[in-house]
Amino acid sequence: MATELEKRPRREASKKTAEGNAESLLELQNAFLPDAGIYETEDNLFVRLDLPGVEKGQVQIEVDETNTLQIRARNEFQEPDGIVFREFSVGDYYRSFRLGEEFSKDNISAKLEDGVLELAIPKREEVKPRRISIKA
Amino acid sequence: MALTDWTFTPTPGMEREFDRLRRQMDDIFGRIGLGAAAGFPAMNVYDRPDDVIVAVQAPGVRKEDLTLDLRENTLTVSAKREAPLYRNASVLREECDYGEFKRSLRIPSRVQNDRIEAQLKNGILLVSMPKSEEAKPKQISINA
Repeated sequence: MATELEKRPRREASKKTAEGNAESLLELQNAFLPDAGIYETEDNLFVRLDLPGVEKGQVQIEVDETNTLQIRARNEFQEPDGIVFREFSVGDYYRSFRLGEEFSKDNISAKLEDGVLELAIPKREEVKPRRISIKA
Repeated sequence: MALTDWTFTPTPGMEREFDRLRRQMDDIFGRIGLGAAAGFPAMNVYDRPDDVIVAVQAPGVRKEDLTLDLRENTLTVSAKREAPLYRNASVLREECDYGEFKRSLRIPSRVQNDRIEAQLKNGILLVSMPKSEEAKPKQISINA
């Protein structure tokens, strides 16, 4: 049974948002909002996104002038034919976050492993906590 | 807050509402069999003339933390996904599932147990199971 509902992505990102950026390197179609985890340490912000099916080199990360972090990824998974039972749909991924002023947008590093993207966004030096030693 | 979700979150309270609504919808549609829903890892089944393919979406799960087990016509997937560890980190958001998972699935056809192949790539596990001869579709010719 292939109802319209089954074919619809579970969490579809706004298509307008995904296509609105003319500079996009990846022409995303049917983009999903991937699940995310966000962790803050003293020096960094770590953003993790579940991107199953995405190969290295198929992720585009950018921070625009409004400090919006945008992540686009192309899903390379080729779905076999003959679906009889579906719990997940296959499509590209798009998600964006607004970054605070305390983060440096120039030194973001990214790692993709087992379909999980991890971004490390360093805090700017002047906002890092400092321990002040007390002299006797 | 240092970081706000731009596409999905007008306000934190609203996001929680949406999330709750989505979970309820998934639950309802899952129960009446309209796809979606289910837990981690999500699975798709493809029934083809010569084989049955099960795709398991398991991002963040390493090969050594995955076990596959076929008993009669039931495929069981066990997976362990470890939560990320950062020193002295505060969790601002976590939507992913971590821990140990086990899910079973009835295979729609008899398969050749000794010819099953499984491959994990980019967080998706593909299990391909060739059908046994008697389960393959056969055309019967009609004599005049």
